[in-house]
Amino acid sequence: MIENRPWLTFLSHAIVLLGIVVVAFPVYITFVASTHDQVTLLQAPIPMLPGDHMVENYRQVLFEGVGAASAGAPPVLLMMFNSLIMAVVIAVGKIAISIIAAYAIVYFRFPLRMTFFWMIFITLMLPVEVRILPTYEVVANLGMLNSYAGLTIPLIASATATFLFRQFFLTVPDELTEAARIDGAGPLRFFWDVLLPLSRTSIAALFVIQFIYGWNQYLWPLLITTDESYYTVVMAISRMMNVVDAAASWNLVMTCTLLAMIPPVIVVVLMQHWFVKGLVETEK
Amino acid sequence: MEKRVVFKGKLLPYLLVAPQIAVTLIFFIWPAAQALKQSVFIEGAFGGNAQFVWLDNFIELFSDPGYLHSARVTVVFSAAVTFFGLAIALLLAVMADRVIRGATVYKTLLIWPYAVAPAVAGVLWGFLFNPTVGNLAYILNKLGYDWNYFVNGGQALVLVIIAACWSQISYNFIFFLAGLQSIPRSLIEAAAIDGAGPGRRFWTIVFPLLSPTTFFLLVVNVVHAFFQTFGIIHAVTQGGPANATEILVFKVYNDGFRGLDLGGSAAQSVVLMIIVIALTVLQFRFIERRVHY
Amino acid sequence: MAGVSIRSVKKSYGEIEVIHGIDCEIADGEFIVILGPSGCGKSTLLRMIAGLEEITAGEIAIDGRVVNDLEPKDRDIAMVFQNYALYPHMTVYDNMAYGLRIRGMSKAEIDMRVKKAAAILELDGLLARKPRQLSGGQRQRVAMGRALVREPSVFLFDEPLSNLDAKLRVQMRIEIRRLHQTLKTTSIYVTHDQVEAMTLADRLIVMNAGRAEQIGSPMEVYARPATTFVAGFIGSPAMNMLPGRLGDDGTVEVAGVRLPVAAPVAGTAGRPVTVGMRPEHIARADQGTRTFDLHVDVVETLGADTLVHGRIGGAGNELIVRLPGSVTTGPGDVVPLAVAPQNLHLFDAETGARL
Repeated sequence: MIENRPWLTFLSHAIVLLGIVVVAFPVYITFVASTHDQVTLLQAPIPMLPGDHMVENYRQVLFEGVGAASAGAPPVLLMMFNSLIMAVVIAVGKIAISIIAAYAIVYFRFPLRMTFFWMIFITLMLPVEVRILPTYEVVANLGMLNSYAGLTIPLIASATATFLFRQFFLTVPDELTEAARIDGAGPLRFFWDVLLPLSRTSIAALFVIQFIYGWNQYLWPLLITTDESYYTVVMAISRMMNVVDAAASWNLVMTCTLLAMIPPVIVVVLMQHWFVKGLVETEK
Repeated sequence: MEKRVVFKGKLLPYLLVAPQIAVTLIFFIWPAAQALKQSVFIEGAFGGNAQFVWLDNFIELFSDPGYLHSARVTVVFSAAVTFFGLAIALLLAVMADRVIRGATVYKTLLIWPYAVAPAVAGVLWGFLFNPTVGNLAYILNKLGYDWNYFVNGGQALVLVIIAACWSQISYNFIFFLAGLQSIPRSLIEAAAIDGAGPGRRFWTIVFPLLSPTTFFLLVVNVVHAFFQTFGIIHAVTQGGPANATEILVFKVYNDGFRGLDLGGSAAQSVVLMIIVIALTVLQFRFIERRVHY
Repeated sequence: MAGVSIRSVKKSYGEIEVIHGIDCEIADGEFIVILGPSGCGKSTLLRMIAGLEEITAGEIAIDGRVVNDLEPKDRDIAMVFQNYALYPHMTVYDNMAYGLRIRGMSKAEIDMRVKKAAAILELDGLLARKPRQLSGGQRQRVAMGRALVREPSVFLFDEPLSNLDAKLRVQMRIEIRRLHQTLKTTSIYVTHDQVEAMTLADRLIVMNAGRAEQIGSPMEVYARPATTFVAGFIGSPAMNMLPGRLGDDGTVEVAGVRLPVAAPVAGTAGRPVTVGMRPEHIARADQGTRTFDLHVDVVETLGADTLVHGRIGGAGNELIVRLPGSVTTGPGDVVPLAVAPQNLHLFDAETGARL
């Protein structure tokens, strides 16, 4: 602080706190809703304090599903498992194929190298949303509808991750590579023994970002899953949302909603340091 | 920028790029090429031969009032989400940067919404504003304001804008805070010695120095509003009421999957592709963080 | 242990030739220093010996075996890098053991060698640390240790001390010398620091612009520099170079003064030459024995010595003289000086070659 102006400091705190409250408010209300029974939530205003049906709501949602409002969705535990598979496979897959592609592009000279680089770059410009139908057709033709492979593989190409690793590799001193050559390490050995351990921070940061990306996928599972046992939790909630007024089980829907956001929020909060660093650096 | 030191290897580099390139070709470039192709054909009825129609699909698209309406909705929606999302995040970041005590805690408490899926954010706000059970809807109605986003298109648009802003604030906040913290302290101190007060310092020193960050976020937020808000619309309003919240991305999906209009949907895809390409080029051209190769 | 032969070695990057053919036979156990200004090609030459750069023409043999097409790991060499190039994620122990492990050496043997090297370099207590927990000098030792454990035929050093502060540099210099006296491994050492070069080398290769200007022992290079470049590069302050002309009676004329030359050179009288005089070889003289007068501009007092900058003869001939610290003089003074005939160096005015 340059000058000491107590009221300005107070104002700063007040604004930030207000921001925090506004940001957290909808989640709080969701939590409150998830602790009441169905009847309490039939009519506004709903209570502002938690009720005593928390355990039974969560138990029912996790193991039995939402019932009439579920729009055919299975128990949330299964859907969370699907989401977890999707998030982990996408995160690990993206990191794995990106780090080796970046390694090839940075540490080798070979024909078509720049062509490959630009092909990877172009994927930045082709989000799923702009090629919905033809991508669906490809996946359908490959027989990957309603499968974990279909949920994950089409999403694991990543220009961002490739660029981040490329950027990082370029900062690794050349002398380290030369020292390894003199020590007798070939390309694969150097990658495994030296480059991979040095990339730990980048890998951790990317894992957080891509885990969230995978968990939060919405359009893609919506397109390619018709079999309920492959539903993911994020995509199933909105299905419930669209029938909830008829079934009026807001308490259970909001319980699902809260469960759907808990895993990624925990990942972000616990790995906050890496996540922030990775996010800011990915965009370089 | 290139490495001086490289490894020799004929086959190995190809093996290393193969998985990435395979996924890219099969699931990105091939479908995109298909979309391009379909956009200049009309599928015959009952799966008959496709007919090459030049740019007819595009001409039809741009003379369709429904599409133009959707484009207008998208512009309003994106502008509002970008402006409010950036303004609120900047305010919070500046205030959080000012306080020393509690800064880390504040940061943690403001970044977690990044982890919440846009669709889930839509559900959270949809619940608060639900005309039957929502607390905020209840308050509005008590205040004499007739709130029902199921029938009022303007209200529905406001609702999805709020949800989209909410889900983007963390991201903007992280970047603004990082940007603010990278401004050398000595510059601010020099300005203070020159006699500039906090407000003046912000507008004459901090804000100009923050402009690369702001510009970058501007592009990212527009992209976000265009493409990543599909979940919010789909979960909360389904594009309704009366297409009041039907943004372009939702329309592609709707026309393609519900309407099964292959050529028209492909033409829409191509238009969207051009928009993303333009935005990406903009982002890499005008920001110093361009790709070196 | 082994000798190294460098035969007509050239290096080009595309069309541009940066090393124009260097020949040198390095004997087994010899300590060779390659000295030159930055960009002269000295590091490139070293890296060609290491196998990190391809040899465009000519050949390099280690222990009689031509190594042009061998990978660095197969050349039986070890290298110490300027920035140490320690693996940041490995402990000191692992950094030293890594190369041995790749070679499939037994655990016991590795342990023995690492412990031995650590003892020599006084790294015993640091084996479990990571490089970032070490001081600059300690990192330097680890880099040396990594080379040491390999027990190679040839050590290569690429400006290993240039990242250290002055005091540590002196200390490590002595340590490297001591190490070489014990191990007697052939060593090739690249530096731009002439003090390091003079103190470490058995023989020097002085390089300039991709050529070896002179190869010889430090004293040879100092006493009989082969070219004006070598003359100017070795010695501090640098040798004074003045334009002169050969006289007809075994003398040379500089700044209007006629000086006798110890070993008269053949050549016609009036031939233009460059005359070199080291500042430390010019002495104060009496009026009787003086050969010329110095008009003093600036005096730098160093304690033991005093450096006197001034002009002789016409305005153009600037001269630096190193006089004992006891001499007191100041700007505007005129100091009578003398130089012994054997301390005059004559070079061809055009080619710069020693006459």
